[in-house]
Amino acid sequence: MKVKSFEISGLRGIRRNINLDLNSGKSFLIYGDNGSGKSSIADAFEWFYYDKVKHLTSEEIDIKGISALRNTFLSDEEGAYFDLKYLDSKYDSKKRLFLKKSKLTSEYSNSSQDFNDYLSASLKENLILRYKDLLRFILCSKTDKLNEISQIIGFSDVSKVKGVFKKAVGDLKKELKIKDYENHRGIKQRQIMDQIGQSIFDDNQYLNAVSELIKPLNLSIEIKDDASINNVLELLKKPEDKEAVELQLSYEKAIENLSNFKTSFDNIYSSYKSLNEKCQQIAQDRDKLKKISLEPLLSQGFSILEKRLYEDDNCPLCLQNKNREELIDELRKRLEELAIVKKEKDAAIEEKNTTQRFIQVALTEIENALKEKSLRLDENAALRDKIEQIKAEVTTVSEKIRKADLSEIEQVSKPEEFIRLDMIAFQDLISVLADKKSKIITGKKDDVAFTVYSKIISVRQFYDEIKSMRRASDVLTQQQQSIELIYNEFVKKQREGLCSFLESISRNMNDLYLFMNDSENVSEIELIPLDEDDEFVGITLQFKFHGKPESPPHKYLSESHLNCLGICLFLASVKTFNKLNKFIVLDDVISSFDTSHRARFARLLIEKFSDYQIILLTHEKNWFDLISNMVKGKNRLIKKVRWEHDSGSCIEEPLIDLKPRIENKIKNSDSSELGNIIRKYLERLLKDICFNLEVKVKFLFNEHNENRMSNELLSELKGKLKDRKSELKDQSVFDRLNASMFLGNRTSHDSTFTESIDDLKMFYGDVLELEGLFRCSQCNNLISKKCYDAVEDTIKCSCGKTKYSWEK
Amino acid sequence: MSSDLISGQEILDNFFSQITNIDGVDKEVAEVILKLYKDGKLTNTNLSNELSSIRDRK
Repeated sequence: MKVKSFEISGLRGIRRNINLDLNSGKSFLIYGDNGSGKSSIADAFEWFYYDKVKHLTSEEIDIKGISALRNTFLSDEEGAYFDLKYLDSKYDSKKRLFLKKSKLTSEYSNSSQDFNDYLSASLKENLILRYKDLLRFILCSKTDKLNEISQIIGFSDVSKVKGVFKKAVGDLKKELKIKDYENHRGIKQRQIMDQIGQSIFDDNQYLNAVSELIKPLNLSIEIKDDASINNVLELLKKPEDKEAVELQLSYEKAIENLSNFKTSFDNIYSSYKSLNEKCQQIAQDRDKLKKISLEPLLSQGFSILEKRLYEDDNCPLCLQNKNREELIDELRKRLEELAIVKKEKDAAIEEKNTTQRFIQVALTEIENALKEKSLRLDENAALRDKIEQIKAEVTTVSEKIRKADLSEIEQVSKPEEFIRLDMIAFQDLISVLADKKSKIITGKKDDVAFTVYSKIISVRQFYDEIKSMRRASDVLTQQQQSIELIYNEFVKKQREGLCSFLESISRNMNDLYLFMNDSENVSEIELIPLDEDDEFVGITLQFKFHGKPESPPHKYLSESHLNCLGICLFLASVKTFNKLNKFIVLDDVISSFDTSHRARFARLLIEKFSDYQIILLTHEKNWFDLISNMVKGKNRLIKKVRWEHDSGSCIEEPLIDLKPRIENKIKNSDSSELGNIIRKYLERLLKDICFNLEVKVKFLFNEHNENRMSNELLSELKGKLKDRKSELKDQSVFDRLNASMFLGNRTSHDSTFTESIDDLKMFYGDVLELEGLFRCSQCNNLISKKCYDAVEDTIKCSCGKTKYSWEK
Repeated sequence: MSSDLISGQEILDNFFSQITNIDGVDKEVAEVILKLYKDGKLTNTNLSNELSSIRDRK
């Protein structure tokens, strides 16, 4: 996408419309003094694409800087606009800025889907570079560098998805730990061992064990599956036995729940210990947590300084004197330190959640035990009370942990004071329940059928539970492994994607930088991703200085070289990221370069970006002249911008463009602005004549020199002609022009004077007569000191047809 | 953007189009994730609930 033409009106310094026809997407170079309004062009582009003008944003203006974009001299009824036409006309659009119910509103004339898609895609492209933005990326923090690149290439979504996978892996691992299937299966195996003196790991062992159990009963049933076991149980079942077995199993279950509680308690303790260690680590510097609350303030301050919304060399809060760059550096360091503290805090919070989860699991075990029939018997009321008491203690601890604020570390007790559980008494409690269970069996120890019946019931239940746990464990493990594989593969793809981007930008940046600084001791400039635990935490800019790797760049490079690096990074990102737009706007980007770097930069743009349309704005006259000469005949438009009282910024037109406009207006008897245009034409003509005849005028500094009025030039020109005794000195046109110039000057400013078209025709006629005296009708060139004939003492045009005496 | 470079969105699309082909990954888990992604609902909570639901079914 290249720009075919544009027209701007009422934006920043441009009051009246300026328009530029770029033919077939030509690059163009615009020179203008400070305040002439050339940056208004960059502002208009920025507003058109990004709907804001970053350097105008501030609390005093508005978040998008739009209120400062509208020309201050516009009346409420006047609208402002940027009319942009592309080589592909379907994207042409005019963006208007106008007051609607006293509120600034903007709208595009093109509402097509194609244009909207183009506009949103362009948001991700780098189109405009200004001097003040050169160092922003170079000097920003490693995290901000990553964030910025991530945003451009849409990595924020990738990072979000990675975060989801990473959390899922962590959650599943934690779930496996909390469920502790292996331990629970071990308990069940021990219970089976207690019943039949062996473990059971598969169905065959289970069926064989049951076969062995029923052998003393001499039953004619072959144990080959669950159905045959059910047949045996049906045969052995007696109502009183069923009740005794149920009670026995209930004791068994209660014992198991309480044993699980004990195991969970170990997990609680170890998790709490880890939490406590993390809290102690934070507690070493208690102020650290308090400092986290400063993070939003520091971030905001950092952002304000970086965006140059505050440019004074003092702290915007306390106004204490401080170098701005040093303050930015200090803030960056403090924010990086806070990021580490925040990470510590997040790890402590995660551990706190884990501890709470373990406590919840333990509480569930106790609650399940209390629901058991065996513990609801009157004879066990005392035991029940003891268990209720433990439950109450654990519930209190759970609440304490839940409410514990890490910023008030003293609220979190030491591990040894955490839960005061008398483990010996607790084990005694389990033993009492085990005794009661044994008594049921002992009371019926001579009843072989009951013994077999109860053992089969118990073994079947334990083995079913083992199988169920095994299935659950397998599924959970499989999920955890699957998500881990997915996560690893995802990290690989993400890394490949980011690295290929960084390699591409680095390669381009390095090439461009070396092109501009080939004989200096900097090489291998690279953007390198930084990661911790599979997590990208930032990007650093590394380079070799005298063959040795160094980072960051501002450690060794001068401001001018850093700016150069900034330009190269921008241009590299243009080559890397810009998919749609083939134009860029560079606004005054070379101010800190010395002469040789300016020349190299000009050469770089011409050679390396020949396929781009470059809109180059500068206030550096020497550089403008240099690059103007370099691009002559290379499909570039060269323009100058000047600021005028009535119109604000306007583009200076070459004589060749002014002439048809004047003649067209005269032809149509249109006197509007005509006097002003003829005056401009005369001024330009006189400058060219004076330049060629080396007419000396009073010394003025740079920009003032360009603003000489015609009467001064005309007077000095006459003086020179008189001095050289040239026949031209007596031409009456000089006196007539002095009088006519009044017309041009009057119409250029607010005045009640109304000139007639005939007056203006006469004025233009005088100007043409002057031009006719100095410009050859054959070669079309002005007479010039370069064509001085020392023999004849004459001055000539380049072909020699027009000549006048010119005495030394 | 250079043609040999892919955007974040393209990385995501390419990855999810191949997720069921990753060696060792349970098909059901991969399909659940793919569906959540296609529906724009791949969040921590939704993924956790879906995985829990698979475990309950099994």
